[in-house]
Amino acid sequence: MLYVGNGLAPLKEDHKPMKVSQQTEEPSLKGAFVSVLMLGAFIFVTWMGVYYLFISR
Amino acid sequence: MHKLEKIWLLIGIGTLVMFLTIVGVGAFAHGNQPPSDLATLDPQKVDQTPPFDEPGLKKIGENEYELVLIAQAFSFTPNEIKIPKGAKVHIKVTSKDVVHGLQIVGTNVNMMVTPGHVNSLTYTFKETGNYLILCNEYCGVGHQVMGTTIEVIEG
Amino acid sequence: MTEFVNKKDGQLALSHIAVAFIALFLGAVAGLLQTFVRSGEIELPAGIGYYQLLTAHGVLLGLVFTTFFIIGFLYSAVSRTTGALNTFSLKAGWIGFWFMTIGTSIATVMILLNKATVLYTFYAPLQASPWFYIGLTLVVVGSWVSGIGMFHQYAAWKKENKGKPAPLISFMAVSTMLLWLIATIGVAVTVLFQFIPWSFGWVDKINILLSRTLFWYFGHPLVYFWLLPAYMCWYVIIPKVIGGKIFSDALARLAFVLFILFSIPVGFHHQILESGIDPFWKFIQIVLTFMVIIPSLMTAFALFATFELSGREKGAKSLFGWFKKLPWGDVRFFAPFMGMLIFIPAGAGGIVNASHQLNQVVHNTLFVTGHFHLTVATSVALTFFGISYWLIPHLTGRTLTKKMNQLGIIQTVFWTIGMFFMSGAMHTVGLLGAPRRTAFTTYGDHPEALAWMPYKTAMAVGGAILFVAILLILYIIVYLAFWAPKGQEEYPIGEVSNDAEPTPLFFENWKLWIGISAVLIILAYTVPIIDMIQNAPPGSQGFKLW
Repeated sequence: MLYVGNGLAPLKEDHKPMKVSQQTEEPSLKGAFVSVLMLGAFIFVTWMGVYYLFISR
Repeated sequence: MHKLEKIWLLIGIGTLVMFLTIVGVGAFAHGNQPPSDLATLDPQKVDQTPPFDEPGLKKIGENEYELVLIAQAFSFTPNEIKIPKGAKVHIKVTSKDVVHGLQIVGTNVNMMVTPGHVNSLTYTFKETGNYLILCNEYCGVGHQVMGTTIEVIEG
Repeated sequence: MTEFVNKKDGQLALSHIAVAFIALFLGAVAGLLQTFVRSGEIELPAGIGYYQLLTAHGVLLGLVFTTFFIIGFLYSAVSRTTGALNTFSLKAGWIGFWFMTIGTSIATVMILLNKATVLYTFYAPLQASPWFYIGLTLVVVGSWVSGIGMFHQYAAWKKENKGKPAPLISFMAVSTMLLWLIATIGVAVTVLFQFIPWSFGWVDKINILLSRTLFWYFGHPLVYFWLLPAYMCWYVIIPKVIGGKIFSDALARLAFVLFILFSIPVGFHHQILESGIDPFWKFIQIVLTFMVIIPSLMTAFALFATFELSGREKGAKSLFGWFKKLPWGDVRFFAPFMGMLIFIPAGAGGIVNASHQLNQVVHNTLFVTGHFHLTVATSVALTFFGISYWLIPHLTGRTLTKKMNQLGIIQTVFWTIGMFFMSGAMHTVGLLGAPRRTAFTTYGDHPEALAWMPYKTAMAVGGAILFVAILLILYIIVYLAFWAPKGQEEYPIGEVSNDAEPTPLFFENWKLWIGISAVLIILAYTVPIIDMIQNAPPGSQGFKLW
């Protein structure tokens, strides 16, 4: 764990020399991404359903 | 932040903005604001304060009506209402005692009725039938019997 | 950090948890009876009123079970990660506990005596006994004392560890109690300056709209007070349970800060259909409400990412292969996970509820009841149960046995199935117009109302299954507290992933967050509140209509 003592959020550029691995190798999060997209779709469909009810009443 | 998280948040926030825009436009541009009447009156003088001194249905135009309702524990006045289908109805309501709710089942008519305040909503019934009006805000031991009906007839 | 919560601190936490589960049991009994009344199966015996039962149900589950469990859990987390509580902090915790317990008892007695059948939202001008309001006041004041106790412990740790960000779960505990303190100001003002003088008869009339507005200023962040401790488990405990790492410490802190800022200036979304509030201000608060959805969207990604990364560490290759690697047989994961899963429809319903004029479709219908039975009664409750499986044996020096783990899995399944029927039926029949908070009725056999009956029956079926699940959880926790074999049960605290951004101290800039929160509250509420004071109609006397 890295703790930054000056209280400011570090800029990515400041860490280039220390964290090369982060720059060149972002972990695969495609599964997470697809999962949240499904979550988003659920929200979208639900909302549209109730919106349709409102419009039709 | 991971690239895919940034994309997700963009999509998510974009969806929320879309929802807000749809309801915002509907409310502010097309007049579909939720019931937010700012008129007030003395809750102990409801029967003397127009239009509540004459509750009921009044024709005010070609195909336009005003429906003035009084809510009290545990009934709505008047309790026999007939409206023609397709007519525009301006519903106005107040309470003589506690907070009630006015809901017409199967429609978008749903509003809080606060003593000291008037609430209002304009609605057009699109189908004939016998509609249930009920109180949907707990108002005491008889809350579950507080209801009446509206008959919507052919215009 | 200490691996085991100090024994004295453990006693404080356990006392809170004990009261929480007693309240859970009583509240659940009320709930079971309610579903059977609404489906027309029974009539209440011994002069018990439906609305009296409903008041008990709401207060015991929504206020007592939650607040006590939360404060107990938070104190345990602070002790676990910052070390044994110092004298002030521990004393404050006990003072808070006793204030809260005495207050709860007074309020409960008033409810049982049928002097406070006003439901847990106690809307004016329905007027309960002043002792009901005094009881609730003591609960809130007690929680403040506990909050101050936790702040003190945190401040002491910061002094000893200059330049270091506080342990994540302690940061979250402080954030939660800070949110609570700011939120309870609203209900404190209305109860102290409106309800108590009015119910004692010192003041004749009450400004109803103002009292409702101050209540809902509190009532919305109340639900985040419930939710954030569940998020604490999901963010910090679950990664350790599944053998993974915390996805991002910094982003988790950011999420909690966003909750502090955006969960309070939004109370109007509970008042969308009320008169006396200009729709412009309602919409402003709707926009702010939508902003508070964002940290939950962040949380969803963070949790899926945590699962995926830990699964890939274990060798999962395909798009969803990591899903199978999760420890489904471990109830410490499974129960909170079901809470997470259910939060998807729960949140979707919440977005619908808050969507300005769309609220006309659902306000005060059973749709709303369905919604909060998913959010607090499933996502939060299952997570709290999921915490109890290891926290109780940890604090009592016992272990979570295989058998209790199995029973816990069954409990979780029963809960989910029961809630599927009950909340599913509630959402559906709510869209068909069935009102909430209403005793058995068919409105004179009106066909619309008769059409709701099959759904009410489904609700009763769901409620019965849930009650079986309640009996299960009570058996499990009593066993874990008193009879489980002695041993050492882990208090799982996750470690941060090596790939995460470093954690800036910036998030602990409390003055900044309080300042921004105050600005947002002032912006969202000042004009409409001045309006509802200046343009108030004559106030209302009290009514006792039960």
